[in-house]
Amino acid sequence: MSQPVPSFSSVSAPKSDRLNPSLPPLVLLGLLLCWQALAMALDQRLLPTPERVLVTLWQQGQSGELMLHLGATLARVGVSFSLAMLLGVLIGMAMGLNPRLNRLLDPLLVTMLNLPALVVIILLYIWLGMSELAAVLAVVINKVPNVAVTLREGARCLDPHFRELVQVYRIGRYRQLREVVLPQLAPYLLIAARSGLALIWKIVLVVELLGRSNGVGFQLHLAFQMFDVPMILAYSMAFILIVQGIEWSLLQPWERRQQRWRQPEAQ
Amino acid sequence: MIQLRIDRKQYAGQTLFENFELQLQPGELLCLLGPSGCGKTTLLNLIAGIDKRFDGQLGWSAGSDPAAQAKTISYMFQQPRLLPWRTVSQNLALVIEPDQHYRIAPLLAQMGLAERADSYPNSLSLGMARRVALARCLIVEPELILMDEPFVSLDPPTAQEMRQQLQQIRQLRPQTSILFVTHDVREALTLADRILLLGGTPTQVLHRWCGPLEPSQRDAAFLAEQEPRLLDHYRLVATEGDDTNRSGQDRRSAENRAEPWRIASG
Repeated sequence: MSQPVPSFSSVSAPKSDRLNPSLPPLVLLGLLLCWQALAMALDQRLLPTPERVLVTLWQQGQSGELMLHLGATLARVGVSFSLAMLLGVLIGMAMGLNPRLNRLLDPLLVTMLNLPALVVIILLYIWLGMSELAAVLAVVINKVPNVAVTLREGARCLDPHFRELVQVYRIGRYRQLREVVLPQLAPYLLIAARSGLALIWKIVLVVELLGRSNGVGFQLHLAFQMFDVPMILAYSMAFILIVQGIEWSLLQPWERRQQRWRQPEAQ
Repeated sequence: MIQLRIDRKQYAGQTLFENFELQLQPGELLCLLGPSGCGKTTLLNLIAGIDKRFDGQLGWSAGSDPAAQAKTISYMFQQPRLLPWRTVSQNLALVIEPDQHYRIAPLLAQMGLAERADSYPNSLSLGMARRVALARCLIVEPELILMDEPFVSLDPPTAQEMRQQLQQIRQLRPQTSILFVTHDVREALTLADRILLLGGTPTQVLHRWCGPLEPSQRDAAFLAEQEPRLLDHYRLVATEGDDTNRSGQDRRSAENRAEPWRIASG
């Protein structure tokens, strides 16, 4: 029997990884269309249409309520995120670079990782009162272990060959950190920042719901008591849009800049 | 003159060096030849200050101030060790001060790398990456260059081109000393002013070779005469090592064991 002859015409050049930039927003548009269809099929008191939610959002914006509560939540997220990243990076790097310190602190880190966020929030409100300090501290304590674990792995993966290089050429501590260590840690920092932002704003909402008199969490609590689903979705949507904006305007450009050298054709 | 005296150097509970001495004259190219695991790379690491765990002394010519020797040693590792996230010129800039950046462009031009100044290392061939690593060695204007099998794994024409480039560099910088580790007897005979054949347990100099200083005198006839003799010595040391120095590979793996990072001052 004769063997099938391979058809050379079937060989094609590998497809490019480039994606049409208009496609990712189309995915979100698809989500909106599904939402619209579902809202029209179901009871609109349970799931209002996107249009109804946008109208609520507009009304909240016009009254000044939206900016007031969004501003309060963003301030808490900003302070908690900065503190959690700073402390988490320092603790994680210290543990990753010092095996003895790692063995000493590892049980504590595992305990903190598994401590429920709600327990920390309630305890701090009891101990420190319903204060801003307790709210921010509760968020920071919840996030620091996640950042520390990620950065500990990053510090462990630092290339020892580059350590020898900086030793031989006597590269100063600051340049060593900025030009040799941090670029190696960049993927880990990005993971910690991305997951940190996503986790922190969710914890901030719980903190506000339980013990603050302003912020998106507080408004969600009010809307829940009044069974106001458009309000719940309007505030959620506003915050999701802001986080998406941070992702597109800050995190993704930074990631592209950090990964530029990985392109084979990079010049 | 650079002097290294090792009273004792241990690895994995075994004595690697004992009462070992090494001297290097200004402008000299000294080649260390020997079987795997005999401690050639360890010697380079001790001199570079990467490994400080030994009993003994490392010094430059008598009376010199150790602080004044800052940045006078450079090291060409077996792998180029270029930072992949920095361009070729940025890799060179890393090891010098900002007020010395004017050295980069002329040096890259001299090494035939001017066109690749803004390229990232992953777009370079191994030969080009090695040339960048050599340029990084030279940009600090060192008094001593340590080279650990710098031309290994290169295709023969590229390796030959780089050897010629090294000879040109020696002519341009006659005061720069080079300590060169290789397994290649012919390469050693082509480049070295002096060759030390290392072996035994603990490691010692088992054979010394000193050749004519002029590279022009090292023609095919010279190599045909010298290479078999040196190869005989090398085979003897390597065979002896097989019988008495079984732990060589263990020592190599101990040497290569990664230590955790310390962000220490330079």
